[in-house]
Amino acid sequence: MALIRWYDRDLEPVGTFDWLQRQINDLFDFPRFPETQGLFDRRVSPAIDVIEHPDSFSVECDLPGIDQKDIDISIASGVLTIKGEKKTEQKSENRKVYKKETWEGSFQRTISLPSVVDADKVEASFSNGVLRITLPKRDEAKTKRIELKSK
Amino acid sequence: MAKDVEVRKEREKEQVRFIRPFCFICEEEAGVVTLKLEMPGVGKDQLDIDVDGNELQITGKREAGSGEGTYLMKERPSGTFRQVYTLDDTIDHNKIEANLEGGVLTLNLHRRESEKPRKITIKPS
Repeated sequence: MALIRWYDRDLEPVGTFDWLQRQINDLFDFPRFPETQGLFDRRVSPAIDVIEHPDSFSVECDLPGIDQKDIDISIASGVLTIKGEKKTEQKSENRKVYKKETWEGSFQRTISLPSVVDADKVEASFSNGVLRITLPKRDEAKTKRIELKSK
Repeated sequence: MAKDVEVRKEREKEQVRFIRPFCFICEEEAGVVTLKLEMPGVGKDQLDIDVDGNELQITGKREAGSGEGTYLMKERPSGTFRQVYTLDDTIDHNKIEANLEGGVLTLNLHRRESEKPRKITIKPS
């Protein structure tokens, strides 16, 4: 039996980095630089969150302005791939562009999945420009509650 | 150490981080300035667009996550989208059209009639 080290949720590495990242980002929120973004805010390809729940994983991805039919999600040998293309239409030839911070074109993000994910039961939904993928764990990997028997 | 965590948690509860949405501003046809703001996760009900004097204020609240679970990866910024623009006199403050689709807010700002380019024809004498 493998022993797993006890850890505090608030002291876990990702949480700590997240906090540090927020602190550094907040430096950029200083009003003297109103036009700057947080240093670590992703802007060249979609940002992804991966969250672990007791019986599933969920992946959330920001895909604003992308058509549902242009998104392609696949799982092959334990790797989740989100592919797609962001298209923008240009109505007239001689348009004047004042400011452009958004990107367009094709993108691809891959995530290696732990072996406990049941690839057959993966579900995905898309609303308001946010893609949510639910990856359930296999039954044997789910956290089980052990009932105490009273004598 | 545990006390630090408590203090930090308390502080974070009070703070709301404003995220500035990425913008795309262009003038597709003369007289209409199109402003596009990427606000993924914002629905129609969570969006506020106000014109206050010559300020255009846009605030969009993201759907809050369940808050459960452990983050293994976190790249999406959390907070409230907010951006304030100053409208100049060439923009008609009463003629602003807004449309929210797929996490992108599109605002069409019309220029005032008096600011539009006019052609002056010479009368034949």
